[in-house]
Amino acid sequence: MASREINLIADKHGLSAHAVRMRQVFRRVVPIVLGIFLIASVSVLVLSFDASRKLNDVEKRIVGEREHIGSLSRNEGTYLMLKQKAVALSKILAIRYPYPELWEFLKSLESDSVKIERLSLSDSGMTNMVVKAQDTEAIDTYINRILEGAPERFNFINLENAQLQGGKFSITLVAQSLVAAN
Amino acid sequence: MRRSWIKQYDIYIYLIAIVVCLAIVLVKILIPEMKSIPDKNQSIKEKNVQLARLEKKRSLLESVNIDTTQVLTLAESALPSDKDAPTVLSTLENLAIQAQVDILSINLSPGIVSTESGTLPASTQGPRNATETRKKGILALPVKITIFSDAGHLTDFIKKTLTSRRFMDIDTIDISYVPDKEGISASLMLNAYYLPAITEIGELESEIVELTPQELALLRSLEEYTDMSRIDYEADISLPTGKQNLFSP
Repeated sequence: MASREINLIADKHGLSAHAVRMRQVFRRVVPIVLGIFLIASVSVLVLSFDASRKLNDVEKRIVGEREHIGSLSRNEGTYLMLKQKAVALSKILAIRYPYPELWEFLKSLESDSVKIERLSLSDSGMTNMVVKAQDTEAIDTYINRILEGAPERFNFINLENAQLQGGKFSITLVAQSLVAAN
Repeated sequence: MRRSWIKQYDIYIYLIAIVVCLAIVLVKILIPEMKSIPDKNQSIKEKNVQLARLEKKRSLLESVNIDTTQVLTLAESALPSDKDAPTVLSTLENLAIQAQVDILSINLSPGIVSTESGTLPASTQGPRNATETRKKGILALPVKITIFSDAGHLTDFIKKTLTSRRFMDIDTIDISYVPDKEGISASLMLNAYYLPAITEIGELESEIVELTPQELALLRSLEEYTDMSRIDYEADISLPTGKQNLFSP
């Protein structure tokens, strides 16, 4: 039988089996890991860059709008004045005391025998009047006619004074209107 | 010996070097960038809201045109920027002519009529704003007018006062019957409103409160109020022409 040559002495310059296996694993896994890392990195950087770009765009537009608004300061003053006056006019018109209607109503109750001698109206709603009449019947009629129209116009009517002087009757009435300007 | 050692373990050295590099890139670059993305998106949202507000303000200001200026002129005649006592007097005079009442007296004390630049130094100033009156929260010039008329014309005068373009309100009316003259004497305490012009506008980014449709309609309706501060009288002058023919008898 022919003999065969074997070498039982370890080769100090070659790789061990474990090292060879490690190299094989390294060659397969590392490129994949690096590839994934690269894709993730690029995605993050792209997203960040995009967000920065959008932020810069918005900030540029804001600066442009501010400059434009600054150039329209005269228009802004005009508009603000208009708004100021509109609000004030609305307040003035919100409650306007119905002087003409009240005066016409009280005047309409006069007759040949009953005349208003003095009348004071105020926008707080107080009405003071002195009425002169020929006789008590005329005064009674006058007061009744006021009372008929009272529910639409007055909260209360107070007969403050009634006197007979110089053959004529005079009464003082105080009334509080339903509507007051302030 | 040494070379064989390096050759045996070089794979581990490469591995460690790659891991360290990746870790540095991750910690120094990627993680900060990842953290900044939500902050940037939040900033973008906030700035978009800010931008929308500014665009809205700009378009509102760009809508101010000649028409707006004309409306402001109308509003200024209704509610002037100063007391404008002469306009009040001419308005009352014309109201009296229109309503056919006789003015017995007019009493008003405008007080300070100069602008702020004309105010006296503080040491020489007397009591400030002695005649400054507010009615419904708005500055007003008190005016007392006494007229003589009959009942119908008095009603007309009151109505015209309340519908004149120069906005006035009536505080009190005191009416007395004058038997000798068969008429009525009436004293009216009026308030002629005025509104000093604004001298400052807000910051660039301050919001402007828009005019409501009701306010716009009110401002345009001022045209229907009669401007009683000036009345155009037709000239009714008949000048003598003299003889056309010098030689006629």
